[in-house]
Amino acid sequence: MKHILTIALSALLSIGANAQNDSVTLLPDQNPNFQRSRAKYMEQSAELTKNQGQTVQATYKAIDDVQAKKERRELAATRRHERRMARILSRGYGYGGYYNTYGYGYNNYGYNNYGYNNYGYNNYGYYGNPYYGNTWGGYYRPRYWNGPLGTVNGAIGTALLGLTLWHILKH
Amino acid sequence: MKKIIIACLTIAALASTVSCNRKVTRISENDQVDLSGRWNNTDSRLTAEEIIKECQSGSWLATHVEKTGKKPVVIVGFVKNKSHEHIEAETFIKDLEKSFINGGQVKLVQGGEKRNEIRGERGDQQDNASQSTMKQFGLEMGADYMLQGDINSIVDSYKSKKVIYYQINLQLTNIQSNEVVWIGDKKITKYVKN
Repeated sequence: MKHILTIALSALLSIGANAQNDSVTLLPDQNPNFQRSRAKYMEQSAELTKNQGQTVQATYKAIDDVQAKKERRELAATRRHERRMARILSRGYGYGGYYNTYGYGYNNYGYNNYGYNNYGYNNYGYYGNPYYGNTWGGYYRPRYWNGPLGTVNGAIGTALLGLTLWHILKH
Repeated sequence: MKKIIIACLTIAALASTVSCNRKVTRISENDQVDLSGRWNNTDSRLTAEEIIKECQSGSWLATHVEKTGKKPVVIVGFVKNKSHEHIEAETFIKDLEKSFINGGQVKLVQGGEKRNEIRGERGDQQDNASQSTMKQFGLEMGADYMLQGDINSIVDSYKSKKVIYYQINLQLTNIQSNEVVWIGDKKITKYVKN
C-alpha cells in the first residue's frame, strides 16, 4: 500500500513538473494560443519565405486583337505543318527518326513559344502518337521545312535572284 | 534600266521601314483614352475616386471612433469578379488602402498570401534572429472590419452597338457582430459603337 502511494505521488509530481515546464510567460496582451501559430509557421517558414526578394509572376494574357490574329495565323501554319507531316509519315517514308536524324527538335519550331498548350495542341494527340514520334522519318525533307540555315539560304537565294535579274535587265 | 533599279530599291527600303513604324508615347494617368470599350485605367481610377470619397465620408467611421475611442482596423477580403471581363480589382482597392493609410483615420492590416509570408518570416526569426530583434507571435492587431466586394456587369448589344454597364460594390462588415456597416458602389455605363 505504501509502495502504491509513493508511485502515485511521484507520478503526480512528475505531471506537475511537466506542466510547469510547459507554461510560458505571456507578454502583455499576447494571445495565449500563440504557440500553436508559432509552431505552424516555424514549420512552414522555409516555404513561405522562399520567394523573398524575387518577383512572383502572376500575369494574365490581355486581349490584344493584333497579337491574337498573329497567333491564330501561327497556329494555323503549325497545324498545316503537322497535317503535312502526318500525311508524309503515313506514306511510310524511310526510317531512322525524322526528328532525331535532323536533330532539329520541336523547340526550333518555337512550339512552346506559340503556346500550344493554351490552344489545346495536345488534344490533337500528335505527341501521344508513337508512330509520329521517333519511329518514322529519315531522308525525306519536306519542301516547306526551314531549318536553322533557312534564313541564310533565303538571303543567298534572294541575292542571287537579284543579281540575275539585274544582269538580265542590264543586257 | 537605272530607273527600274532605283524604283525597286525604293520599294524595298519602304517595305523595311513600314514594319518598324511603331510609336509609343507616355500619357498622363488621368488622360481618358478609350480604345476597345472594355474596362480600362479610367474606369479603375473613377471607381477608386468614388469609393474613397464614399468610404471616408461614411458614418461608420465616426460611429466606431465614438463607440471605442480607437481607430477602426480594416482587413481587405476578396473581391469577386462576376462580370464578363477580366477586371483586376487590386488597382482600385490599393488606391483605397493607400487613402486609409495616408488619411490616418483607419488602420489597415495585411491579409492573404502577404500575411502568410510575414508570418513565415516571423517563424524563421524564431530560429535565426537575435533575441532582442526576434518578433513574437500572438501580438498581431486583430481587424475590426473586413472589406469585401463584387464586380458585376450587364451587356446589351445590337448589331454594331453595345451598352456595357459595370457595377462595383464594396462593403465593410464588422467581424465581431457580422453587421454590414458600409456599402459603397460605383456604376459605369458605356456606349460602344463599332
